[in-house]
Amino acid sequence: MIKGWTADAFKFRSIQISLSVAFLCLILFSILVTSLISYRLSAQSVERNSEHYISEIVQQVNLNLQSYINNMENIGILALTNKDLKYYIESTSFLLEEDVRPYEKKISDLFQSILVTRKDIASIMVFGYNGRIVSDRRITSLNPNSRIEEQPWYKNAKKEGGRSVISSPHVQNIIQNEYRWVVSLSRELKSADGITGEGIFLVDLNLSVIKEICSQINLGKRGYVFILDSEGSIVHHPQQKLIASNLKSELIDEVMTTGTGSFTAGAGGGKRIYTIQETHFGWKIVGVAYANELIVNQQQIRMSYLLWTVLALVIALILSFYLSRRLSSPIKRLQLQMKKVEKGDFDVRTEALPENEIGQLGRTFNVMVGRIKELMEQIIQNEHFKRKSELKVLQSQINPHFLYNTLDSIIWMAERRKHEEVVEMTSSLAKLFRAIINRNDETVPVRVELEHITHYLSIQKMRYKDKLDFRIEADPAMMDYKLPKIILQPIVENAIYHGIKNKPGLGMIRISGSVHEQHLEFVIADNGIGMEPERLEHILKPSEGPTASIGISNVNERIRLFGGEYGIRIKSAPGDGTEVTVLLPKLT
Amino acid sequence: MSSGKRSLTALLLLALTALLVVYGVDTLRLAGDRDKKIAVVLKTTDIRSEYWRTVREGMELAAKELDVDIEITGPLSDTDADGQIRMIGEALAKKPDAFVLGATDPLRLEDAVRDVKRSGAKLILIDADVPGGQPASLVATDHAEAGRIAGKSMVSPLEKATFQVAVLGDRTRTPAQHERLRGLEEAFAETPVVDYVGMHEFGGQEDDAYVRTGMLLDQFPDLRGIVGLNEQATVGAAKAIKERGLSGRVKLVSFDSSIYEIKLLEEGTLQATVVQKPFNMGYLAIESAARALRGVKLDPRLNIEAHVITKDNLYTQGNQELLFPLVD
Repeated sequence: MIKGWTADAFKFRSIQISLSVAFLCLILFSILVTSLISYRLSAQSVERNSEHYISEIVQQVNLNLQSYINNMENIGILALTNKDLKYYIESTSFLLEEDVRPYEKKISDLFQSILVTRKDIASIMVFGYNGRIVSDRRITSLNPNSRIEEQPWYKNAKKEGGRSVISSPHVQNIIQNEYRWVVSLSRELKSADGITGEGIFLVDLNLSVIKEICSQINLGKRGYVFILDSEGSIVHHPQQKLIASNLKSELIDEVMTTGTGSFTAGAGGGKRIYTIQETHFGWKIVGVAYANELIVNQQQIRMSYLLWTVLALVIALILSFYLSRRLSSPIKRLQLQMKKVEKGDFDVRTEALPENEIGQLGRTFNVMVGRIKELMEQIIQNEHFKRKSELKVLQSQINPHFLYNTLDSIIWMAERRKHEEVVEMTSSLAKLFRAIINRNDETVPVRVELEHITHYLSIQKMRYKDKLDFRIEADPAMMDYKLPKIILQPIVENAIYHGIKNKPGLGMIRISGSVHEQHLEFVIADNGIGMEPERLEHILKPSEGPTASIGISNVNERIRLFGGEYGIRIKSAPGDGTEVTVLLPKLT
Repeated sequence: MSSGKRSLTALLLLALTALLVVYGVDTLRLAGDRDKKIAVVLKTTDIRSEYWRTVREGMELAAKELDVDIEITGPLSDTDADGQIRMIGEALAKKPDAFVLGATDPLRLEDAVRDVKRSGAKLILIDADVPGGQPASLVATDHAEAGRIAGKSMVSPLEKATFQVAVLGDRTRTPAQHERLRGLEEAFAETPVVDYVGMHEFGGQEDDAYVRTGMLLDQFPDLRGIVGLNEQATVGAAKAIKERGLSGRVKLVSFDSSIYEIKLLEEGTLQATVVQKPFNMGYLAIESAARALRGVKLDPRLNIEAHVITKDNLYTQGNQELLFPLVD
């Protein structure tokens, strides 16, 4: 069923629709393919661009962070090279108690002058192994409860022996009443020999600086940047607190194993792209962007592609409709003309044809219709001619038997010396033949026709003697009307040969003529044996049957040439005689 | 030919409709959730309240992450119930789809909460319940559990000898304090070594607590533990204990973490303090609201766990985050 339906669906009844559909399919296909390909290409480029963009951003964070760390290191170097500081913490220096304070002030001034220009630095401090402490503050009141030696930045700096150490973010609690989130850079200060450690130098960077760098980053609505230290613990993460209470998790292990580079995690709406950069001080900066947000752009692209595709389709639709109509309209016109021809109008000609195959078709069609018209006319003429000649043949066709029989009868009567009968019969025969042969006109007055039939019947009556009698009653008003020649004789002949000849006793033939408003009417009635209905049926049909019936059908046809309302009607039943009614036009 | 023109028009109309439909659907799809608004009225927007600032921070992070629209308001003072009621009205006028409320005075907010419920917005209460509120979810610290934790932290596992413990609380008896006390008493009842000598009220000021502690220490010379139900109680008690040189001998346990309490922890006067997680509360409140808007049935009560801080774990990574919220 479905197969049939689809087959039907593609069988269009109009060439225009077929063309439209074909064009449409073609255009649709090509538009879809090109849009799809270009969409994919641009989507890919968007994705590549955004990946590039993320790594640029992460790079930027990295650079910013590094510049902060470098600054801290530079401050460290500044401190390292400061002679006052060196002397101040050197275990070998012999500073008197009253000299300590000026030194402290000098160093403190130096630190302060550094800090003035730098808001990002929380504090600069030096802890000498000799117990001397100096900071950027005039008076450094340490938190009595914080154990400096146990702090990671202190321990690690001591362990590293002269190299700088970056701590994880922590709350710095060494100064009384101050609890600041900082990242510490610490470094052991060496004595002049470069081997012995003399103290720890500490620079604290406000963590808010790092947070600010990271929170300024825009990686879409949900994207973010986080930082891990070398051990994989979080330096900064917007969801740090949630991760700490296990409400969220981060792919720290994956990040730690990946190093600089990127990977994708999650699926569907949660698909994220991790872009990782390692800094030279061991931290990892990770940019996380949600794929579907990078594709916000992609969605816009998709949207505009969709709109443009739809627009293109609309244009294509209109175009295909227009084109197919242009192509099919001459065909349609041709079809219209052909329909007219089909209905019999051979005068049609197609005009304004295009200079192409369809135009040629149209011209050929014109020639063809012209030729058909000629042929038709020729056929009509031929037919007419044929009728005429047939008529002539018929008119000249006098049953030869009738002639032999009549002549036999004359001979027979002559032998019996029946001179009067011979004279009568011969004269009747002569008149009969004159009526048939001499007049070249197609039509004769009713009078002549009646004379003719009277002669004929007289001859027959003489031949059949007691077997045949006849009577002719005609309206005198009809005598001057004309009728085609030899209308009555075949009918009468038929009545004699098929009706009366085989009937025992006297056969009577009555011919009556009357004038009516529209036509003339003759009724030829006999009291012969009558006819079977089958015979009656094909007596009016031409071609088949005995010669006599050809005569009647021929008479009928000839009358009908004047119009369908004229012709012969036969009424007959076996044993009941036959009555033939002839309707004729009123010709003058 | 006229039929051709008609079908051409039909075609054009069809194409135009298709275009409009595509455009409309797409715009609608893009708009989507964006229309859903969550109104938040906090107990206070005072920037000196670290607790509520942290709650707010959690909310903002959640809103960013879940891509929902939130609008946060709240009175400047955390006791301004009238101001809060007015703000609830103003927020409701904007026809939010969900409403998150941290009540100033639960008893006085009943009517306002009923208005919220009547507006059809999903109601999420945070920090404190409101009588008759029946919110979609209450996101709050389980203070009774916090009390239990505090009670347990009073007793070290090695403790064998029975010792006396008292609780110090003020007269206001906020629901939080009430719950804390209940949790404490439960914990003490389960711990045989604790000889609970009851809850003792003080005037409400630090000095009152100081005086009351002195009286307690006089009254119960063998008192070895004090629980302060609020900051004033703790700081006052600590002062009395330090003055008498009893630091370390009389264990002091408290709730929440002001800078003074942290210093007391550092110096060892304060044994332990049980802190809440306001960031989580804020985050989970917005997450719950967003889920409710998506039609998810919420747990009527979402407990935010409390956390014990002692001198030893004071500076661990996670606890630093809790105690020293880094707010902009």
